[in-house]
Amino acid sequence: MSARLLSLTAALVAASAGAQSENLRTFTEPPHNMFVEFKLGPYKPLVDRESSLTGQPYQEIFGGSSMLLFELEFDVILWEKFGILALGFSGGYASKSASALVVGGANAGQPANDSTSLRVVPLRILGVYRLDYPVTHWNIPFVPYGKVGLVAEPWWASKGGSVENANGANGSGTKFGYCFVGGLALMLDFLEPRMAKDFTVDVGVAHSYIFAEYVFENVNTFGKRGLDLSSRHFMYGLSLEF
Amino acid sequence: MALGLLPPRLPMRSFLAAVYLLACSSAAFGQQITIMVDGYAQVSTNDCNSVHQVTWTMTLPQVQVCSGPTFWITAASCGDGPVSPDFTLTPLPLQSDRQGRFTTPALSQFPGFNGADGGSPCGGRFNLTHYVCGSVKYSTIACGTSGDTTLRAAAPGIIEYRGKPPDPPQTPDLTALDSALQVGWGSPPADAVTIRVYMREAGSGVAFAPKVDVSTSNSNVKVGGLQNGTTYEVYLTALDAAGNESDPSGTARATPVASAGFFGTYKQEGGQEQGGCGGLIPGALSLPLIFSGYRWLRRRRSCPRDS
Repeated sequence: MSARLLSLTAALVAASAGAQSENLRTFTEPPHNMFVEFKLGPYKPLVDRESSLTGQPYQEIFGGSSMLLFELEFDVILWEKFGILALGFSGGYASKSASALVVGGANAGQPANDSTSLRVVPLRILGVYRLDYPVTHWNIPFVPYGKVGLVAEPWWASKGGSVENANGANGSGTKFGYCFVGGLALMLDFLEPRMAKDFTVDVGVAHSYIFAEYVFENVNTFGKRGLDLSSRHFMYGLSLEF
Repeated sequence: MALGLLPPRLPMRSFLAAVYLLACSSAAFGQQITIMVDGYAQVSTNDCNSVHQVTWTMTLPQVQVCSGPTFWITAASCGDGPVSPDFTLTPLPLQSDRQGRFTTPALSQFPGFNGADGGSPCGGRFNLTHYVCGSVKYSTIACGTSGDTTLRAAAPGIIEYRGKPPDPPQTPDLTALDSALQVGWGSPPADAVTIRVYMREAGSGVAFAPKVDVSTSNSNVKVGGLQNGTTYEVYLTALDAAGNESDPSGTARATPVASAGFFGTYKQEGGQEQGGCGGLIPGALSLPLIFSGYRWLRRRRSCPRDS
């Protein structure tokens, strides 16, 4: 697997260096202002790790499968010299639905006709650093980056189409936490430099990337008791630099 | 000539329709019959004693009226004048009248509801359409000559008696939910606009009671507030626009079952979450700090590098 990755990397570097008679940034670019990212990934909250739980409610209801999380992120560029420093804002949505479980009687624990769901809306404020030195100086189209930020995550659990209440508690709220993100973006300009320049001139998109990133987040209101929406997951997406 | 119907006590009485028709046979001479119908309505078995207001106007310039105008109610086609057992509206207008107003007899006296004429009494389970017609005979030369012309309303007023209820819906499809039942009925019967759900506890001996009325634009309804573990019997009826109610459908039975969703299961297993925004205040306090940092960095970026 790693050998394949190395081969692919070498091929990309060779392609970027050999196929381009012109540097990726040899023409006059307009000043960069922001990044826009569209991304998807599997999100599975670590609900079941709450210490007071005697069972695994997420596993029992949803079978342990992940939600599909969609996120949209805007990064406002604040400083651009040795790399790019930006302030990011992102919002996303994920949901998971399944059958509720019968309570009591001979069929206890069996799937009921009622449906139940968990929905989350992770909102983040991020400090972002992108190391674009390899692109600007060596024509290597990879941009490693890191993000650190705060998370606010409204959530609600419903049953039968309305928010579920249980034992006097309301099945909705907001959890807070923090996150660390590390990722690698592949600049796509080298695939078709002329089109990339046209994209810059006509649309204002200076560069476009595909990327993968790993998200480490603790979203349990900084260790308070209650629902733990922390997660460790990958996200994949497309990034546009304006 | 104009005819108007105002059924003041009908389910659709708030609905006003106006139909204008020009009688083309005389349009070249300026003669025309305009029929205006206010409150076109479907009436049900509950409306047999209702009366209706009819207004009319007529335009006949430069002609001599030979007879009429005459207005009548028929259960058949209008024709040039009333025939038995049509009901002629009175008092008869004068030949000089160009507009007027009638109050019809009670619906039960309309033609088609008279047993002596072979009709069935109002209130029966059948449909019958009544037309309010009008005509006038005039001449542009002299009455009694070959120039006599009968002008009639081509678009009469209509009172549609709907005594035949829709067919009953199919036996309800019940889905047992937590403290509720979902009641489905598939395709509604033709002419039905409402499905009425009747329900009772099985074996209770009490009469079925209407629980909810639902538009047929839906195919199911959730009936809540029920007792888990108690069996309920449900049947449906269909109602048409006139309010006629069908015979009941077949009866189905189901028992609501308690269930726990994700949050209920989480709480049952010891989850400590209470909901709400426990950390909202620290989260909100951090926002001004972040915004201030953002403003500071933006200001630094916009300043000259040597400043």
